[in-house]
Amino acid sequence: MTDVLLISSSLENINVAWRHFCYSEYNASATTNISAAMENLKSSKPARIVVYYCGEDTDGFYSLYNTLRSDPKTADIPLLVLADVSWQKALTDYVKFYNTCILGISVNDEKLKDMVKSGARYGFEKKSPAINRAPPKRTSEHPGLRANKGR
Amino acid sequence: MLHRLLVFDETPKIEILFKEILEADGGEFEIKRASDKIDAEIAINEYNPELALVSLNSGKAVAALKSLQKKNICPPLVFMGNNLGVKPKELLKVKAVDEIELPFDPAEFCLKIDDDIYLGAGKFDELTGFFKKGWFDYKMEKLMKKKVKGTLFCMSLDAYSFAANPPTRLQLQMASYALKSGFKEGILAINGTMILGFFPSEGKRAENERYINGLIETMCAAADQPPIFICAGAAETDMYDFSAVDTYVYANKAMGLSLDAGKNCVRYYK
Repeated sequence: MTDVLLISSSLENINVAWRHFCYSEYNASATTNISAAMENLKSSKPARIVVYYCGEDTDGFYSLYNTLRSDPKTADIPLLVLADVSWQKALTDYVKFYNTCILGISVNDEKLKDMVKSGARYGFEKKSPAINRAPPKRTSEHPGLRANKGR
Repeated sequence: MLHRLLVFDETPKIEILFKEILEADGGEFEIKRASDKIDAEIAINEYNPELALVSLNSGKAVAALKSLQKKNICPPLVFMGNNLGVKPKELLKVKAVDEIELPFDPAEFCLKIDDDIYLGAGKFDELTGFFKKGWFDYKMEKLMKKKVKGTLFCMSLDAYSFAANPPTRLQLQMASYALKSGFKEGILAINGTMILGFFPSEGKRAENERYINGLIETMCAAADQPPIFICAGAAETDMYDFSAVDTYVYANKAMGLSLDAGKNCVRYYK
């Protein structure tokens, strides 16, 4: 079983995405609250992968991404984004997200299971599972972010 | 301060995504997206954006941009695309303050937008066709923040400006020199730490080179601190066959490094 944490900006969104995770392969939990999500991810038994659902009315995806990548304890957790048609192009073509995979919401369950499983095990940054055995190199600044600065 | 950006693109949600990325970095942004020329004109009239990000992957965006330029209501531009080396023919002569390759790293994007807002805020210089004033001020400000000590030289093909900090007699020497050298525009301002002047640009490359070298040599000889050389304006753009590297090379030649390597060490600041 893969421990999955499903996050989105509203309960309605969670309901839409939940159908993908009603299988015995997953041990899934869900939240709309970023603080609660971070608590889970920093607990002794954290989810192995975060799934974020971006539906038509979703906002705050980058806020979750930023929070996740800013904390050394959660910076390398793989993130899978299920994006509806309105979000998919913006998330795929415009921004380089670290250790993140973007999938369309119409993805079939088998493919999604494969992606979740491999993402939870190897992450999305590396091409080959063999390479993944080495822990990721850490720099003072995380590759996905830089320190906030005043304007 | 609330910054206002306009994005020319047909892709939905990018205005929300950009806003979230930029605001996570600090600051407040209002971002509107326009997918055709009517939307773009309305957005520009309604809230006067500081920058317009134009997606070169969108044919509609390019058409909208052309229309705005014809009407002379175009804000400072930043091109973005995933193959910026190959621009649509009609955009080859359009000047942009910056370009953003897609997909971008969020941190780099924030830095670029931060810089580009500053650059775009500069007054449009009719001589060079660039946002030159903003470039000079911007670079000066960055150097001052770093507390770089030395004599600052900003060089452009069309414009010549320099500053000495802390103020010394050098400024007056330079001002006198500039006037005697017949700067066409004369001295524009002397305000304690900065002197600006213009020199003619119609000359051929070799003449310009000699002229630049002569000026730099004289001024560096008078400088009492290591000069820092800054390329700005047209010199950074490869226009008129001069590049930033060219002008840096000329500066180094003129300095005669071998004669006084300790004092006359040119630092190149881009």
